[in-house]
Amino acid sequence: MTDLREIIDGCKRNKGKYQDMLYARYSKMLYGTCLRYTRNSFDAEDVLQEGFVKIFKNIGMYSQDKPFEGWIRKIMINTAITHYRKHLKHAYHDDVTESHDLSADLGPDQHCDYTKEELMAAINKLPSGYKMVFNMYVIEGYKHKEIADALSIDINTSKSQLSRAKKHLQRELAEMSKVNL
Amino acid sequence: MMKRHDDPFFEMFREGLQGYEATPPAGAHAAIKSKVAKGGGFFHFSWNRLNVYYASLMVGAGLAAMFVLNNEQATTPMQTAMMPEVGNNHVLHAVQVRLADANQQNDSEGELVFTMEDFSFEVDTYSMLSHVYQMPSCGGTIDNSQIQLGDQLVSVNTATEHQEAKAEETTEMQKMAKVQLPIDWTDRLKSPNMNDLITQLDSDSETIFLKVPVKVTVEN
Repeated sequence: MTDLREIIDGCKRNKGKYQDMLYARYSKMLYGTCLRYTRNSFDAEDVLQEGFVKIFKNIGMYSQDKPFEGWIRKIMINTAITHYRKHLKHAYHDDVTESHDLSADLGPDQHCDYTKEELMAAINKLPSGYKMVFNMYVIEGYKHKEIADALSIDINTSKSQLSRAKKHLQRELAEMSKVNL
Repeated sequence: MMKRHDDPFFEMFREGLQGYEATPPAGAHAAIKSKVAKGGGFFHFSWNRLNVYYASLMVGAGLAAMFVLNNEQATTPMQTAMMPEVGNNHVLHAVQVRLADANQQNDSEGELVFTMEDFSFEVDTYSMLSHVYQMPSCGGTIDNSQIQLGDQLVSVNTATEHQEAKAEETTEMQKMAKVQLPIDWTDRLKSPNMNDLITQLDSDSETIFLKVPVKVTVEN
């Protein structure tokens, strides 16, 4: 297998062969990330394409001292955020001051063996805003301040959406467990 | 694996989805390659992709240019001239584009040579000409949203949101720009609307000239 450094250098020289190698190596991982952030596979494909174009255009700015996988994932996530913001008017959105009656506290003992597909299915049922916050906070490890800045929302909105996302997911997983019994 | 969240529910998701992968749709790779090869972007210009969309875009831009110029005629008689190469030394005078560089593998790529007399303006990318700017150039190089011509640097607005911000500081004008092409590109201008834009065919210099509408933003 070709060394990553060689692939990156090839991409910096705009060589199609190395761009193909880069795509082959990371497209599945990045598409998985796109699917987490978007409403459907069509949007995910859009983000993937846009993200890869950005990666190839900006790879000259990548410095070898950073982990490459983190760098390209960050580009893809930023692309997904931009995509989300562009389509915000279609997304489900609510505020911290809105209803607090989502009281389905199903307890923390749910972390039994769910497959990746089940977890993804649960995430994909979240409203777009919840999904963004949940992914950024839980999977990527962003702070609420960073999420608020990136999505142009209030910190408290970020917190409340995370909390509601959790409740949605708990409910969803509980439903799945019932079906599986 | 190191835990990041105290909340076991969150941790379950983080661990569970670590390394989640999915196979992208079959056409995604080809689409990316196409965008990268052509400089990317939906509005990117490509001669071999001239289709109904581009033709209608050009016709629309032409009509818009005529509409704006007609309005200008009513208020500012000094700006009645459509010919960019005459007078008006504060706007785009002529833009020459040389295409079909032999060393380019892709027919849609070529060489740009810009002839401008004044660089103190910005050219809006909504215009037809913006597509031309995105082609790789030899006479000038394109670096992000700027065009380097010798020691002159011309800014090109690439972000649509910039337009609004600059609206108060700039004046927009619709002008016609001249695009010069090698004569053998005539056959490639398959769209009838494109042929309509041909204003001159010079067999001595083996060039054809197109007139395309451009939107020029002049800094006040």
